Amino acid sequence: MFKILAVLSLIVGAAAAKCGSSSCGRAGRKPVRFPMVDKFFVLIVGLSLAVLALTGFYALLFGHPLSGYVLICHTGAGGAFAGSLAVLAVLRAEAEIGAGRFLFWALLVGGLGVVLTAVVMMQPWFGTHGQEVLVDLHRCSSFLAVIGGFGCCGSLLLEKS
Amino acid sequence: MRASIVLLTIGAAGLLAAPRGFADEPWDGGRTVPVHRIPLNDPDGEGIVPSMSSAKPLSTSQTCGMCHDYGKVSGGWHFNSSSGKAAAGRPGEPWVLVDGLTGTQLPLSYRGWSGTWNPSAVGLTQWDFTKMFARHMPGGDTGEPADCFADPHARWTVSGKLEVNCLACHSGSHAQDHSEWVRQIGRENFAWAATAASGLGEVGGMALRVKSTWTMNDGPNPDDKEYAVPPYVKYLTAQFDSKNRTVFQIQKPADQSCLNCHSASPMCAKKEDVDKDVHSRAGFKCVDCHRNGINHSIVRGYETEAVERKDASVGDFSCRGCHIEEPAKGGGRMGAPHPKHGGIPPLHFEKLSCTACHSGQQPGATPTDMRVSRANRLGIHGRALWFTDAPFIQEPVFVKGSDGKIAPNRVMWPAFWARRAAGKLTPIRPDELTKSAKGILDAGQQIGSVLKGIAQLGDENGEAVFVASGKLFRVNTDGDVDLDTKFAPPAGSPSGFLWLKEGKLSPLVPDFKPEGAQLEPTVESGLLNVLQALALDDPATGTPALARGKKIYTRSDDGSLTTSDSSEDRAVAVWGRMINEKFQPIVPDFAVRAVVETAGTQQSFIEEQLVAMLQALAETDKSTEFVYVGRGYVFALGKDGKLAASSNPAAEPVFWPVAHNVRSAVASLGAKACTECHSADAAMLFGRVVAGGPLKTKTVAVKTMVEMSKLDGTYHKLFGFSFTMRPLFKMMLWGCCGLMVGILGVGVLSCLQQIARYFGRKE
Repeated sequence: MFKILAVLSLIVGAAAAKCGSSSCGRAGRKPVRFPMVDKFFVLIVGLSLAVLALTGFYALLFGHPLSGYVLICHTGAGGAFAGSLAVLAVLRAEAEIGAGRFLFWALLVGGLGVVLTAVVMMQPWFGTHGQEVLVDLHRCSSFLAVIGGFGCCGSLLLEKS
Repeated sequence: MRASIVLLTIGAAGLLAAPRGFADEPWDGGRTVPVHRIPLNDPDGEGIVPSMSSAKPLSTSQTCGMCHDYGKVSGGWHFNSSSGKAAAGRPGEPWVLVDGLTGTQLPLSYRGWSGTWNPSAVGLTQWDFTKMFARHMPGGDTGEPADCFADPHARWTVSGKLEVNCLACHSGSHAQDHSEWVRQIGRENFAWAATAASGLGEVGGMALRVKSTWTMNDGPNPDDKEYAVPPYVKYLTAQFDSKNRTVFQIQKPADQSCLNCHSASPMCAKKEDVDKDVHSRAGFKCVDCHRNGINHSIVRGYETEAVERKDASVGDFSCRGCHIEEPAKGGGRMGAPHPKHGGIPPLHFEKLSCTACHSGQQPGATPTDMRVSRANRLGIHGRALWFTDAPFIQEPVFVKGSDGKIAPNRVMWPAFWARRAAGKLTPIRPDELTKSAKGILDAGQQIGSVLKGIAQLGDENGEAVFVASGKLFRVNTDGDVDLDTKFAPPAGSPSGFLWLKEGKLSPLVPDFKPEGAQLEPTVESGLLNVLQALALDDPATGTPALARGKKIYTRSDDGSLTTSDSSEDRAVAVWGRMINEKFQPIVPDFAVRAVVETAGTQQSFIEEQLVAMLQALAETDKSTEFVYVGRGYVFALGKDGKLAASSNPAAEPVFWPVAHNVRSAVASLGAKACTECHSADAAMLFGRVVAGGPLKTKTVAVKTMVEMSKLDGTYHKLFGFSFTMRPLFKMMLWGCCGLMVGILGVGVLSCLQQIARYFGRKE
């Protein structure tokens, strides 16, 4: 189930990035106040999301537990993703209009779910079963974040300036 | 006629309905333990008449076996190691052949566990094994050989077989005495041991001293009532009724019975400081989890046991079986609380056994030195101290098990002498080495024998002690010497053999001037007394002598003092022996060095002795290479005659998992903080395991826990280091979440506003 969703989310995310870049363009967005800063954080979100998807989905798809150096990469990229996504949320909350708005809000909702489940897992609040539920929620949120993130960031990075 | 047919029919039906079988089969559902008021049978199956002086010892196979299937019982886990038929299962504690003189601690097992040697491969027969280890065995196994005559050196016909001692575990009598069992094993009174240990009778005599043609049927030895007294039993007749029946206080095995052979405690701990297992404190008995049926295939309780035994019910008594709720099983058996494991990622339960966090001693910078019943001979009470510091066992050492999970283990580094041929090591039995070891490895014994000799002079002079390098040594009951850690000789005190009286040290003989024509009478008489006390029965050891100045003093056969000249001028008196008309110190210098250097340590001999021993062994057989395995290396003499150490799988440590004591949840590893394991210096990962053993050397194997567990140390350092930033990381994530929630909230409100406007416009 999760494996299929992971593959689907990657495909849909890539398709959204492609469509977003060709159809939305600048017409679908309002200008932002700090374009360079905006671009930088979009890049960070995109890259960190790519690392997260690579490490997380690799473990998921190939049945390996997320551990070792892969886990360190995943956690490190997670920090970068959370921070840059929060900044991006501030910068772009009102910039997105049209189809891009849906991708952006999908990224924000998915990203919030991913970060929230990750940080809650680090707290001693949930036992083994709760942890397992949180892992599942983390995965589900990540699918949304991947679709929204790849779609939103991909279109922003690929669009002709 | 009709009545007869009816009676016969009823009788036959009765026989069919209630077949005479073993007491346990089938179980009637009653949960009480029946009163065992039963007559005793001897090994021949004859009823024992306790009042008869010729009564034989009780035989469990003939007494308990009348109602319980002895054949099934004797196939149980405690009795089947040498059968070769039982599955080995998870490695357990090996038997350890310990010999203090030769510095041997060799792990043995018939079960083929990794790192152990099969006793037969080391030249130990079932007889040898039984003699060595039956002290902590419940009988059966090697004690009941199929062929008593297979081993020509064995004395089974004298000792009798060591049957499964049902009472060792099942007796609830306060008279049941494990120490008595051990004493009887030591006397080779195998067939009498169960009777003596049960308290049903007094057992005297020693099969050990009886000639090998004697059998139980021969009765007392009319020619010797002092030394070679055959074993006999005098039953305590007050414990029997008029029908020669006694009441066995049978019960499910009590913890005390298990702990006779399964105790483990930190070496330096005080008895009052050692906590019980958390399950024991909750009122559980060992057998509540370690259950078995009549076949005595006792549940060992490890995770994979159920799969290995192809018996799902066994799994109920593992940690998970009771504590983890699974829909199919239920869990929570026997009221076991479900663990919360709050905040612990589930990955931990894939990589670690439950015991990793919950069992054994808390990991430290180095593991804790332990003593365990079977290896260190614990729980044998009496005037003699039976326990030994060797073998050196430590816990916890974290190692991956066959299930791939990291679990705490006890560890012991093997130490033994061996022959090496084509790279393969074959251990040598300590008794084969005794002759070569004499004069080399028995440094403490050499000093001890001198002290014992001097002690014959009486207490009026004080206590004979040995002083060297500012340390004072006393002879112990084994003839070796112990360091007196409380008494420090004052600065400037003389060295060597001295009198200690009222805290003051004085020479055995008052100092004198050797240049003088004649010694003072008191000095001469004192000197003669000491020389006489030091004389040994064996003339090959030489005549005792005292060297002082350029003179050597000996005691002639007529008891007078003889003086001879020495080429060496000695400023202080030196006690020695004249061997081949040459003066030699009574204790060689290297022996003194060995005793001084090893005093107060776990070690018993030094490299100098090791080299001498290897040379002595080489002299016995020049075609064979002799080596010593210890401290994680193999030591051998190189072509240049110098000691060389090399690695070898045979020198690697032997592990066995720790299950108990189980600590409470709050005392488990990681309960206080993740950094108990995830830090750059976590004991569980980076604790150092130093190879223990009897050899004092600087060439010692040291491994970290990550090496032992075959984990990536660099990764765990890095991962551990990341935990120093974790609080900040979490704060940052919470901050990001807050910000995103805020923006999402604004977004949602804005969305709601637009919806409201939309409906407003519509109206």
